[in-house]
Amino acid sequence: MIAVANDIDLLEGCLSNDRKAQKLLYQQFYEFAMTIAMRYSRDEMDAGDIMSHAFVKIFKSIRSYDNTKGSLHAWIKRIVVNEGLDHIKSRERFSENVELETVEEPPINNSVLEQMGAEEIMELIAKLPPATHAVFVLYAVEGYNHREIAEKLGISEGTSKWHLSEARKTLQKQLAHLR
Amino acid sequence: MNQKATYEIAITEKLRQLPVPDMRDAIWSRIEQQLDLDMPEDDEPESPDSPNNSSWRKTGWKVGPFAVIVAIITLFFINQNNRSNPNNTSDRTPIKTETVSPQTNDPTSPPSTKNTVNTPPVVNNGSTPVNGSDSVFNQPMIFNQPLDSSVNLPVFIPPVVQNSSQSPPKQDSVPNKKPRGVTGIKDQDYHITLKKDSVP
Repeated sequence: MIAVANDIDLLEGCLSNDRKAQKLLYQQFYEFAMTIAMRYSRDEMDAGDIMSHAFVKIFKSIRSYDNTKGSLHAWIKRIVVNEGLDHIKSRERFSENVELETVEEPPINNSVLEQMGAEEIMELIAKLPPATHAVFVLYAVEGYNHREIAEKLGISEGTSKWHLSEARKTLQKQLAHLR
Repeated sequence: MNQKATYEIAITEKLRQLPVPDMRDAIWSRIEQQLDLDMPEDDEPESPDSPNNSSWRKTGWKVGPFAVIVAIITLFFINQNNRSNPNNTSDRTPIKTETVSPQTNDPTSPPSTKNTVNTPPVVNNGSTPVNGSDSVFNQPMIFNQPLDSSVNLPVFIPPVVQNSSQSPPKQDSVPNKKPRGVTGIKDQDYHITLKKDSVP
């Protein structure tokens, strides 16, 4: 078990580019950040790439963290999510061609989901097209609304809604096969 | 905040249970490698002009061997140039060589100035010190090019052979050598003299 060090001490060490403090901060936030990174990746290797890029950014921009504006957890989460989205963007360009006014909500059997393991669900989500994958995770898992997703991805709100509808329909079909 | 469907809440709950792969060390080594490249760690604050500065030390490691190699090559070419060009008088000094005349038997007598010859400057290749006449005689003199007529030619001086009469008697290596002949008989005893009685 890694001892949880005081965030302030860790931040001071990281500000002075102390490698030990940086490693301690990384170890303290590893599971938290890795859980987020895995949502935006197809496999563990992708998640590793997202993590390494995100933490290099964290240590490089540690001076920009302002504890009066939010917790360290929230700041680190934002960087990891942004890195995950950059990773998805590198796989596919986000299309602006399709837009929807309202999101379709196809019925999904909850009991099937209850019987599935976390890894199986993750596999289903990872099979979605990259842009649809990103929108679904941002909306359904992270809790962002369409306006926020549109800002993050540089797309319109209608496109974000279309991707969410596509994700729901695809998941419904896949879950119907599993019944 | 958005309005999540019930199945989306179930998905979120499931994803929170997702086991995290133990790639802690592998990922950290990549992060550390990147940090070493982008923002190398400073052990202690140093002034940029200080010779102990880490960047100076890194550069020194690269420049040091190169400077040594350049110095060796330069010395080698200077040496070669001096050998091939004996007329170069910049680093040569005339050496007065004293010769010992074979007629002079007394080694304690001061050397005559008449016997002093000015030899052409000898290039010291660095391996033999030029401290006196003995060292010059002991070293072979090599001339690769014909000397200028203005330069005095070296006089070949035969090696000095010491007069054997001057040398102290050699002591026998065998102590208490036995005397030859019969004891009590001297050389005079062998002299044959004519006696009167024997003449008829």
